[in-house]
Amino acid sequence: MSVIQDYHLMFSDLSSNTLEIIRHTVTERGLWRVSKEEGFDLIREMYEKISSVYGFPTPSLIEDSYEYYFIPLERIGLPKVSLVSCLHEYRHHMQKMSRKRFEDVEVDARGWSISAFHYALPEDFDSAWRRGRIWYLPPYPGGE
Amino acid sequence: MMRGEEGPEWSEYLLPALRPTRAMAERELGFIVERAVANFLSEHAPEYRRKDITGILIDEEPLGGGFVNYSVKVAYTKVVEEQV
Repeated sequence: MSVIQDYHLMFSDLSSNTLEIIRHTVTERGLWRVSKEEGFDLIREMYEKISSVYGFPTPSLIEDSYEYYFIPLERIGLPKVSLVSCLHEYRHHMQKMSRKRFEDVEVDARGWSISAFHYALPEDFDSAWRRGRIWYLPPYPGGE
Repeated sequence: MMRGEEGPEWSEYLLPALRPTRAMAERELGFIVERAVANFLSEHAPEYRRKDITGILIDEEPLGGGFVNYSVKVAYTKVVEEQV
């Protein structure tokens, strides 16, 4: 099985509105600084805003033991507040609405979510990659 | 165990079940997830463990006779750190 490494470069044309919503949620609303409960509310708000950019219904979000997207009910589950994870699951929702660039839905969702983080918050992305806190990326070039 | 497709760090399982009503579907979700996780672990443990499951994508396809097939893609990787 070939290993795909350039997830962060797969969607260089991501909507500037979407990137701005992500930046606002993290830097101004403090996604990584607030409590878990507030973080889930911020993700719900972010889902609502991104959905309005694309004209999609907003998926529901609940706290659960695993990270998942249940296609029939348009429901996302997350065990904790994670920007990349919540974007990954949102991309599966977009796929349901026929937005898909890569045939493999997991590759497509990894590419979209990691690219969104990369292009919205390049410095935070770089720092997270260096610390090994983005799944599916190869080790940071040149090491720590 | 009914196997579906395989991709880069994901495995698919097909889980037949009685067709649920919408209210039942909400309750059944937890059972479907646990069945998929059990299938995944029976195939991939000890190399991968429960903590290495990074995401689960669940769809349902109606079958005849009041049954559905849940197709469940379980994504995984070696999780060392929590994702940001």
